[in-house]
Parts: sequence; C-alpha cells; structure tokens
Amino acid sequence: MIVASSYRRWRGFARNAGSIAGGVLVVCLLLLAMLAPVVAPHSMEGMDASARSLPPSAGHWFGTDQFGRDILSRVIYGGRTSLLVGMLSVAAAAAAGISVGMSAAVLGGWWDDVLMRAIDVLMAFPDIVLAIGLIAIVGAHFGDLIFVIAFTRLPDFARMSRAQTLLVQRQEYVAAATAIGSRRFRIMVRHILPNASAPLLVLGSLAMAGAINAEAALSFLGIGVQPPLASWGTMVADGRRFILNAPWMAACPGIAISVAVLAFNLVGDGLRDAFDPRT
Amino acid sequence: MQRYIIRRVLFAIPVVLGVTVFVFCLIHVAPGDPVVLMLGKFYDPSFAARERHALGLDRPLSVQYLMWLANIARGDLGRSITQSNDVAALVGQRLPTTMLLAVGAMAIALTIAIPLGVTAAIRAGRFADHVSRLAAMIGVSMPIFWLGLLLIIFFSLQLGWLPPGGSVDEFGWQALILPCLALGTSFAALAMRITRSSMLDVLREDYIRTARAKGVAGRRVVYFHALRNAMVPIITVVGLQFGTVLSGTVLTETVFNIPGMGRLLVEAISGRDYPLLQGTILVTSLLYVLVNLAVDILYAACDPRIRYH
Repeated sequence: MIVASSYRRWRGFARNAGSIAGGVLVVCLLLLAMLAPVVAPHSMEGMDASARSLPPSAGHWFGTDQFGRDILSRVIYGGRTSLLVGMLSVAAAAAAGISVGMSAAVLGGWWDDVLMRAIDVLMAFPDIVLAIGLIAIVGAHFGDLIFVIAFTRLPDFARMSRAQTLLVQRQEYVAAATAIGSRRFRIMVRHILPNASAPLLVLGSLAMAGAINAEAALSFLGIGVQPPLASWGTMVADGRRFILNAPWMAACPGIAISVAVLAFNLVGDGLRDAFDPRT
Repeated sequence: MQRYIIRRVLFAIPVVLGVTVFVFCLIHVAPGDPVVLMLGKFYDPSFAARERHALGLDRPLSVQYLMWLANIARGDLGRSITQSNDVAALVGQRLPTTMLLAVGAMAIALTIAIPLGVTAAIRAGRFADHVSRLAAMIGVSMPIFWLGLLLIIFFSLQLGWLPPGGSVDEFGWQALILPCLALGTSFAALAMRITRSSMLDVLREDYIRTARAKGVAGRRVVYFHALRNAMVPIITVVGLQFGTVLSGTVLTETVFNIPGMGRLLVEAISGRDYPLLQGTILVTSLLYVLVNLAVDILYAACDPRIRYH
C-alpha cells in the first residue's frame, strides 16, 4: 500500500516539468563542482597579465577579472565551496534538528517544553541577524560557517520533525511495535523516521536553497568564506568594486547563485506538490 | 479578545527574555576581554582593573545580566567602541531609515504581487499561471544583493536615472527607490505565491459560487468577494515574513550604502564592536517579536475563529 502510493507520488514528481528541470540542474551543478579540474577551461588561480578585466568573449565565456583570471573557471571552482557549505550545513541542521524534534515529541513533558521554547527563541531572530551574532561568538572559519548556517536552519527541521513524529506516533503500527516490546530508540529510527521523511525531504531541498543563499550573503558581507578560499558570494563581493568598468565580474557568479538556488527550490516545490496530500 | 491578547503577550515574554539571554551571552562567550578591546592600545593593567570594576565585569554573571537588563529598561544600550557614541543614539539615528526601507519594499512587493497572484489563481493551470509562478520562483531565487547590483548597473550607471543608493539626507528620497525595488522584488515573489494559494482557497468557497449564480460580474466577484476574503491570510503571512525583510535590509543597505540598522550591524561585526553588536541585534530582534505579536493580534481581530483555538 505504502509502496504503491509512494511510487505514484514519485511519478507525480517526475511528471512535473519544473521539478525535472530543477533535478537536471542540480545534477549538472554537482557534476560541474565534482569534475571542476576536468571541465574548467582554465585553472582557478592562473593569472594572465595580458588578459586583465576582459569582457565575455569566445576565449573567456564569462570574461576575466582584474588579475586576468578566467571567471568561468572560478565560478566552476567556487561552486565547490558554495555547494559543499550548503550540503554540509543542511546535513548538520537536519541531523540536529530531527534529533531535537523527534526526541521532544517522543519524550514529551518538560524536555519538550524546554526544547521548543529554545527553538522559539532562535526563531525570534531574523536569519542573518542570528548568523551574524553566532559568527561573533564562533568566528568565520570554514567549519564555523557550516555550524552557523546549520544553526539558522535547525529550527525548521526541529519543528517539522516534531509535528511529523506526533502524527506518526498515533499510527497503529507504532502501537504494535510498542506492544511487542521494541525499544523507544528502535521505534524512532525504524518506524517513525521513515514514515515522517517525505516532508523532511521537501524541507531539506528548500533548506539547501536557503543555505546556498545564506553562505553567499554572509560571504558578500565579508564575514563568510574567507580568502584564499573563494565562493560565489565572495566573487560577487570582489566584483562589486569593479562594477563601473567590469560589471560581468559581479554579474556572472551571481547568475550561478541564482541558478543553484532556483534548482533546489524547483526540486523542493516539485517534491511538495508530489507528497503533500492537500494538493 | 482581551483574553486572547493577554495570552499572546504572556507567550511573548519568555521569548523576549530568551532573546536577551542570548544577546547577553554574545559578549561573554565571545573570545577576548571586552576591556582589552575597549582600551585598545591604551591598555594599562591597573586602569583595566578599575574599568572592569566600574563596568561590573568582576561580579557574577547573573548579577551582570540583571544589571544589563536594568540598563536596557532605562534605554541605556551601552557605548560603542568604534563610533564613540551611545549605542541607543546610533540606533535611534539609523532605525527610521531601515523602517522606511522595509515599509517601502513591502508596499512595492504587494503592489506587484497581488495583481499577479490573483491572475495566476484565476487562470490556475494555464499559461499565465505557469509564467507568473516561474517568475515568482526566479524572483525568490535571486540573491537580494545581486539583484541590487544589477539594478545599480542598469538604472544608475547605464541609464543614469536614479542615484545608486546612499543616504536620504544626501540624495533625497530618490535614493531609496532602487533599494526598495531590490528588496521589494524578492519579497514580491513570496507574496505572490501566498496570494495565489489564498485566492485559490477562497475561489472554491460556496459564497463565491452564490455570487456568480446570482449574476455578479466576473471581475467584481474576483476583486470584491474573493480578494477581500483572501486578504486576511495574505496580510498575515506577509506580516509574519517581516523577519525576512529585516534580514534583507542588512544586505540591501550594504549594497546601496544606506546608513541604516543593517549597515550598523555589519559595521559592528566588522569592527568587533561588541556593545554595538549587542544593541543592534537586540533592537532588531525585539522589533521582529513585536511585529509578529501585532500581526497575530490583528489577525485574531479580523478573524474571530482564531481566538478559540
């Protein structure tokens, strides 16, 4: 029964033109990032004094920067940083958020109250403001940045997994598992989590879009990815200084951010349409 | 209604206290001694010890927190290290610009979003719907700071129509047009999606069928009967997204060089100015909590069903 309906839902996802486009884009972006040394036409740091600040042309599709570096190659390499930060922070946010949400729902009582009030407090900060506050505490090294972005995404996962767990917990198969003496942890992992996973998958995809955007925003503000590492956000920030004479320097990495965010948003939307029983 | 308001306000109190605890922790968990940071190159051990005592930094943390809360209640947010001014004064100078920016952006967003959302809902599943949904999706996905840069390149550098941002005192109100447009566009995308789904819900209602059955003209049904009812959830969700707009002002103000709260926040973190950072984060978050509270109460005032939940 569950298998058949989930098959139908995946088919619904596959029939949606938007989600297909999003899925194809996501795969392409991941491949580009993974195969950067093979696909990038030039090296990331290769400078060419004779080719400074060139506009887009056949030789340099996205033009070159103030050091004569090929922007297309930098965008491809920069995607590694941006996508990696996005994936790791969403994975961390999901792991922590789901643990918080499920344990709050399963254990209940004061534990639930304490955790949920803490989540309420976190949600009282606008995203970027919370991120800036956390960066002030932990710093802005690569690992810190992942922690900070994960922290801003955590409340969504916690709330969603708590709500889903409360729903699934009432099902008869959970009662049956309890009756035959399964341990609480086993019930959580084997029975509740798989049945609560569809909305979390939707959230994960939308959170990925949000995380890429957040990394870009923080890097643009100068408090995200630090040099010598480059991401799409730092490239837009660098290009901003040359906006008068070489607008492509800021515009091209921005296109990459928009395409990546759009791709994950499309996948998330497609998943929601396919899995949300209300639609 | 009165009981509902009291309950909502009581709910907000622990959140506000939690926010103050978090913001208080900022300065105490952050690496580095605040006195060392404050004195900079004028550091002298005996003077630092006196200063530490004067600031109450040698007392237990709980006492310090209460002292700090009492100061906030009196409107004293401390003194900025880098800008040699009271934090409260700085916030007072910067807040009006940010509010103007946020309100202007929300106004632009609704002006774009409502007609588009209504059109998408009436033509659900057809070409106009697909186009406006795709446009909204693209709008949501474009980073605000990048859209801002594109607007500057196009309208300011190429066409020379508008100033590329800057302060209102210097360039007049025109300086806010592009920033409001950048922030508003990304927000419009969100508002459009909400308008569409809210309108779709309302258009299924029986009273819409009744209105059509008794011969009310199509346009009138949409704008007078349906939109009016759809507006309540639209305004609510848009109001609750105020935090997104506040986050957006940080980026917009940076791109357009507008001296507002967002820039103040970025200046504070760049300069490691912890008192200023504390003050700006506190004020921004409290503002957000207050707006959410106001939206909740207004929603209940408009829709009596909410109060009984």
